[in-house]
Amino acid sequence: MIRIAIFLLVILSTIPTHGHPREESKLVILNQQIEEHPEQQDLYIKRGAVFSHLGKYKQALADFTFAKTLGNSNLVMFELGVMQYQQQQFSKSMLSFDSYLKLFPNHVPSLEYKARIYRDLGDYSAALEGFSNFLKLNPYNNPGHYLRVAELIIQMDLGINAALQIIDQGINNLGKIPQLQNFAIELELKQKQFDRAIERHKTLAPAEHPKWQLRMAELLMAAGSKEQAKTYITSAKHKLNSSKKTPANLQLVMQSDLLESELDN
Amino acid sequence: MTKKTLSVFISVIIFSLTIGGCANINQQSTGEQIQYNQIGITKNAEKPERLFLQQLSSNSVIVKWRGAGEQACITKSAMDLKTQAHCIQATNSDSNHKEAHFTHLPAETNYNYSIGGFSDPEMVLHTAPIVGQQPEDENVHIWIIGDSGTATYQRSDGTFHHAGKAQAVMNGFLQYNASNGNEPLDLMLLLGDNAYENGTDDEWQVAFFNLYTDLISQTVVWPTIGNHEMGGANIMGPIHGLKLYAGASTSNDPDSYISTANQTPHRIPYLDIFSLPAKAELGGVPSGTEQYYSFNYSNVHIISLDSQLSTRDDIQRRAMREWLIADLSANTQDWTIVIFHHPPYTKGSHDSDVNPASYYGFDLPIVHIRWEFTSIFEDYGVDLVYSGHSHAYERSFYLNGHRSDADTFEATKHAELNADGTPAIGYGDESYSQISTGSKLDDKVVYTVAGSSGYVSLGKGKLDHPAHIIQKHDSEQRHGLAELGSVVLDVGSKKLKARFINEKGQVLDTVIINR
Repeated sequence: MIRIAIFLLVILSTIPTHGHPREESKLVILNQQIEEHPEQQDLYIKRGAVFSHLGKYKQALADFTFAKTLGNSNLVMFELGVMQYQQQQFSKSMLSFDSYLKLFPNHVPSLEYKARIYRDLGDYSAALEGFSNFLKLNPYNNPGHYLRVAELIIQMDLGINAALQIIDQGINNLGKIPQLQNFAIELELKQKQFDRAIERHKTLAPAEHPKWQLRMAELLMAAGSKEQAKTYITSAKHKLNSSKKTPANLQLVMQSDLLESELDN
Repeated sequence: MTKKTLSVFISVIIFSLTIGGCANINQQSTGEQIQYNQIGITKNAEKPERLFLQQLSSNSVIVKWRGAGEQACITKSAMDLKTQAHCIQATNSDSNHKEAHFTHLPAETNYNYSIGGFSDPEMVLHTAPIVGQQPEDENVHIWIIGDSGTATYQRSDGTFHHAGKAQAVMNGFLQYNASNGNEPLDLMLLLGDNAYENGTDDEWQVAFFNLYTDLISQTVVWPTIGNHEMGGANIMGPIHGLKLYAGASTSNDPDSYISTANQTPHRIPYLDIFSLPAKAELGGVPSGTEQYYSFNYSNVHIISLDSQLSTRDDIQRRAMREWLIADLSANTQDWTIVIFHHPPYTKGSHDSDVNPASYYGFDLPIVHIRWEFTSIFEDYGVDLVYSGHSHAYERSFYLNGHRSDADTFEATKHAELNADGTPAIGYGDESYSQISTGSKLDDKVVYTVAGSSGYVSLGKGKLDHPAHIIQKHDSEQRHGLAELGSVVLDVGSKKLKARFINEKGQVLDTVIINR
């Protein structure tokens, strides 16, 4: 009886009124589907999420509550956690994401939200630890995982060194790959740690091709080592003479000329 | 007959005269010297259910299998398998595979090998030429197939769509090959969708390992991820409601793979099946992920990009782009080939124009590749790009700078031109030169869609993308061929030649690039 009542209440409140046409058209489809398949849990989860996006939290909560009765209740928890976060119910939100992570330990959005909650509560070390643990526990991280976490850390103002720590974790696991090392170099340069940037650049293999050499020259110039920079520029120009005539190499020739004239000035 | 073909032929003859012996385990392998002191054949040994070669280089190879057998042995002749062999105990890898990684091998050398004491005439391998050098036969012979996985493509009533078509394509290639010197393959490149409909391990077994058994036991395989490798996705639709559609995943996470058989998210089977070089084991720049990688073979640099997963997330796409630039910057090989599943230019069963491609979110990679990667290919001297996904054959002019929809293509701006101002078609007098005669730079690429190795389908497509050449063998003179087929690529020092071969072994299209 309670189920039917909740069901009717939700149906009555789903008449679209204003704004969000795409979300509202989703509601129309979902309403129809729920009519045809009233026992299907994921339909209520999806509709609850739409209500949540529209700010209709009572209806969303009704759907999430009902969905919990139709299957594994933890499946509801991510969308519920998102809604609770939007309502700044941080403790409840945290518990919801933890429940969802029991089912899907690698669910990055849940970990991101948890990090946001820690940050919003001022517990920055907990935020970082959560990310770090996720990356350590996941055996199949790709470069993008580490970059995403590092960028989030920067966005959340948790510190460049914290971001570098994550990148170095990635380098330890995946190798000295350009996707991570170049990002780390940019972070080192932001902190004017030129020597560290240069050491990182040296680890990128294979070394000594013109692009690598010119980048080294730029870093050395930033560090004030003009003579060393000049050596790399000269070597790069020499190699470019016999390299393939591609637009990229042409660009490198122009770059080498520019760097040379900067040095001369 | 080339030296390599003759060696293989003799090995097969000798093998067929041998009788099984007894296994003797007393293995030694010291540094550069390989010592042969085991016996590689056992009477009544079982054939592995799955056997293929990975990461073959001039001095190493991974023999990978599933099934009986805990060690692999190699020798320079089949007779030696009976008397002496170099054997390695297998290491276990994902999904019950086993791997034996042989190293310190000499370049361009034929080997017979056994698994768990089992061997047959097809179990031969030929190590690669030294990187940067021409092979002894002066040709790198490559077979390329796209969307071939139809042996497992079932209707809801249990009958099979497209039964026998992938087999027919292979037969066509073998017939063509036999009539043209019967040169053994050096490489086999897969363009994705090689196991319908969900890329499950079982589907890979039937649609790939059972079909190409002989070829892949002696030719190294290099794959790329297609949309059907990534299983399916539950999609809400107005007619069918919530339904799992195979090949419709828009996730960037390889651990979110689901299929009709198992809707609990788990790791994409493709990454468990293949052992791919994430650490530049065969040259190139390390990528840190098996989702995209590169390697060198002889004088060719080959890159496999991940258009299915990595392009669907801004950060991962940017990371892949960054790696690609680093890899191409460091590349010094004569020729560069890139493979990935989603074609940047197509009007076959998929449409590369922005609106249809992005409306159906699962085709968004097509647009991202065109907007963000084609300029890199053209700036960094890539020669050929191969994709599948659209189930037809389309082959472009020698292109540069075409980033928007099909109706913005202008041959005078975007293609290599003949002296009379018409776009060059890539063969005969209009063969291409690696250094473009127009720009005097190596800045143009031939883009080929080769997604008809398992079936042909155009859907609403009309094969009318103007960036592709009009195919003279098409009865309707369209910009493509609605024909089953595959691509054979021959790469020499000064010339590469790519041919589209139909299921009858006929050559329907050719493109030549000279350097």
